[in-house]
Amino acid sequence: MTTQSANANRTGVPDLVISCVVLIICGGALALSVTYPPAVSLLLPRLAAGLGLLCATWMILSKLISLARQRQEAGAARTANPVHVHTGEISAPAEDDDEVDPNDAEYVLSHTPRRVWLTTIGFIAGFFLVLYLCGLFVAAAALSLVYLVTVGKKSWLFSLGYTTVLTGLLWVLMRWVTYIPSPPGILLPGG
Amino acid sequence: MIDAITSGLDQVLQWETLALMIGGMLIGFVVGILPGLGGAVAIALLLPFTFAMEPVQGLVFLLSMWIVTGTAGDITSVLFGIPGEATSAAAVLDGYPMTKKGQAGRALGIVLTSSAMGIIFGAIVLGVFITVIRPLVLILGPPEFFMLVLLGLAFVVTLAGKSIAKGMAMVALGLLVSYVGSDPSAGLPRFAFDQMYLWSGIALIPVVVGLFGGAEVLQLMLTRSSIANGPLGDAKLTGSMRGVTDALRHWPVVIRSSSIGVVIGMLPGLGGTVAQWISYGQARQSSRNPDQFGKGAVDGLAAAGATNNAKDAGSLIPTIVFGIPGGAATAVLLGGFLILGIKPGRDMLTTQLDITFSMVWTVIIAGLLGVVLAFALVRPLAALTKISGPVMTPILFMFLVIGAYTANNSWGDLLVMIGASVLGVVCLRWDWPRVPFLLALVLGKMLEQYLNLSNTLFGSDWITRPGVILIGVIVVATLFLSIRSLRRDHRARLADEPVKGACSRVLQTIGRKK
Repeated sequence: MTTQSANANRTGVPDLVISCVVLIICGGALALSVTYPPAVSLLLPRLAAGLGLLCATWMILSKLISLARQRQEAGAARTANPVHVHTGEISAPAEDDDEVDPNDAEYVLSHTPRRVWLTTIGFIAGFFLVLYLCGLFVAAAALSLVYLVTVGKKSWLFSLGYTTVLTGLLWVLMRWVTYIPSPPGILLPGG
Repeated sequence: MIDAITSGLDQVLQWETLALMIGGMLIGFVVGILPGLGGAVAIALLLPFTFAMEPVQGLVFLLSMWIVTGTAGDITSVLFGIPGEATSAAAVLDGYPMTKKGQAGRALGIVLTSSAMGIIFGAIVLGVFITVIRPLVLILGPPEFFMLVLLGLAFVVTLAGKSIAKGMAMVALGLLVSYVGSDPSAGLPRFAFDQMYLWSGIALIPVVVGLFGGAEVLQLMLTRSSIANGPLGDAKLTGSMRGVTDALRHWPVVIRSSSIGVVIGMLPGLGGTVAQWISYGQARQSSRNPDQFGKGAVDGLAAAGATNNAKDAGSLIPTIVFGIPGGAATAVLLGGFLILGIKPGRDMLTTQLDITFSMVWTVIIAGLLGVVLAFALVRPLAALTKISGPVMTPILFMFLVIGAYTANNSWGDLLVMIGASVLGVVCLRWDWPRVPFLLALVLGKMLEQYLNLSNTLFGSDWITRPGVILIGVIVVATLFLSIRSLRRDHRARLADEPVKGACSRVLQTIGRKK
C-alpha cells in the first residue's frame, strides 16, 4: 500500500464511521419523530434530521468511492513497481514529520502512546468516580495529590501544599464567597 | 443633552461611586475568569447588596461588574482554551493556538485592545443612538428575528472548514440537540427519553465548556507539558505591545465586528453567543488569509474580542429604551434597575436622561479600566501558560467541573459536559468542525420559537414583509459569498496537493493557469 492510500485510509475510515454514527442518530431522530402526537411541533427537527441524513449519506458515498479508488490505484502501483512503492513508504513519514506542528491538536491526539492515553482516561474516570462518591472537595484533593505525585513527579511536600491550597481556595470560593452549590457525593454530601 | 452628558459623568465620578465601580470590576474580573459563572449569575448574586445604594451607585456597581466579565472571559479562552463565558468561545479558536506557540502575551494584547475598541465603539453607539433607535427596533418583529437567526446559520458555511458536508452534518446534529426538551407550542417533551433532566433541554454552558475546554484539558494531560512550548516573548513589541499594534492595524475588522456586536446585541433574544460567530464568520470571509483561521489568525481574534464587549453596550439599548432585555444578563440587570427605582422606557430618554448617560459613562470607564487591569496582569497571566501541565491540570479540571455544574446545579450537566468533551476530541482528532455544531445549538431553539411566533401572528404572509425580504437577500448573498470563498480555497488546495486522478489533474491545471 502506498503512503498516499494509507493516509487516505487513516482519514477516510474514521470519517466513514463518524458519518455512519450521524446517519444512525439522524435516522433515529426521524423515526422517533413519527411516534410523537400531532400537537408536537416537529417541522424543524424533521428538517434537521433530514439534513443530517443527506449530509451523512453524501459523506459515506463519497468516502466509499474515494477509498475504493485509492485501493485500486494502490493495487495498480504495487503490481507496476513494488520496489519504488516500498521506498516511498519509508521516506514519506519523515517528510510528514518535518511539516507537522507538535502542538497541533490532531497530532497530539493521534501520536500519544496508548499507555499515556490509558493513564489519562484512568485519571479522568477515577476523578468522576470519587466525585460521585465523595463530592467535589474530596475529588479535587484526591486528583491533585495523586496526579502531581504520579504524573507530575513532584515531591510529596509540594503536592500536599498544592493540594491544601487548591482545595482550601475552592472551599472558600464556593462556600464563603459565591455560595454556589458544588456536586455532592452520595457517601459524603458535604464533601 | 449636553447637560445630561456632563451630569451623568459627574454622578459617576463621585468617590463613593468610583469605589463601588472598582469593587464591582474586581468581582466581575474573578467571575469572568471562572468558566460557567457568567455576568447574569454575578448580578443575581450581588443584587441584594444594592438595596441600600443610591440608584446611580447601584447601577454603576452592577454594570461595571457585568462589563468586566466579558473582558476577563476572553483571558481564559486565550490562555487555557476554556471560555470564561459562553460568549468568549470564539476567542478560543485563534487565541489558544497563539498561546500554544508561545505568543500568549501577543494574543492577550490583541484581544484586550480589540475589547477596548469594542467598548468605546459600543458606548458611543449607545450614547448617540439611544434616542433615535426606538422606531428602528420597533420595525422588527418575529419574522425579521427569524430571518436574522437564519443569517446566523448561513455563516456556518464559512465556519465549516474544508468540507461543507461535514459542517452541515454538524449543523444537523447541533439543531437536533437544541430541539431536545419541551416543544414551544404544545409543551410536550421531544427526544427526552423519559429523562426529567432533558425536559428543559440541553444547557449551553456545559456544552461550550466541554466542547472547547474539555478537549484542551485532555490535550494538556496527554502532552504533560506546559500550555505554551515557545518563548513568552521579550518585553518590547514581541509580547503584549505587539498584540496592541496588531489589533490597531486590523481596525477595519474591529469596527466591523463591533458594529455586528452592537446590532446583534441590540436585538432581544439573539445575544452575544450568536454575535461572536457571525462576527467571526465575516472576519474569515473578508480575510486575506482565511486558512489561518483556527490556527492563530490575528483578525479572527480581534473580531472575537471586539464583538464580545461591543454587544454588551448594544444589549443595553432595548433594556433601557423598552425594558426588553437583550439577553440573560440584561434580564437580571433589568430586575436590578427596577429594584433601584430606575424605570426603563420614556423617562430614561427624557427626565432621567442623565442616569442613562451615567450608564454610558460606566460602560466606557469600567470597560477601559477592566482592560487596563487585564493589561497590568498580562505578564503574570501569560507566565501561567509556562507552568508545567500536571501542575495546571487539577486547577483546569476544577474550572471544567464548576463551570458545567453551575448551569443548573445538576449531575446531568456534568454528563453533558463529558459528552461534549468526547465530541470535541473526536472533532479535533478527525478534523470535523466544532463551531457549526455550537452555532446550530445556540440558534436552533430561537429559529423554532420565531418561526412559531411568525406563523401564529401573521400566517404565511410574514414571508412578504420588506424586512424579511431584505434580510433574505443578505442571507442568500452571504451563502453565495461563503460558497465562492470555499470553492476558491478548495481550488488553491488542489493546486498545491499531489495529483491523484484525472479529475484532480484537470482541476490542478485550471488552478495553475488561473
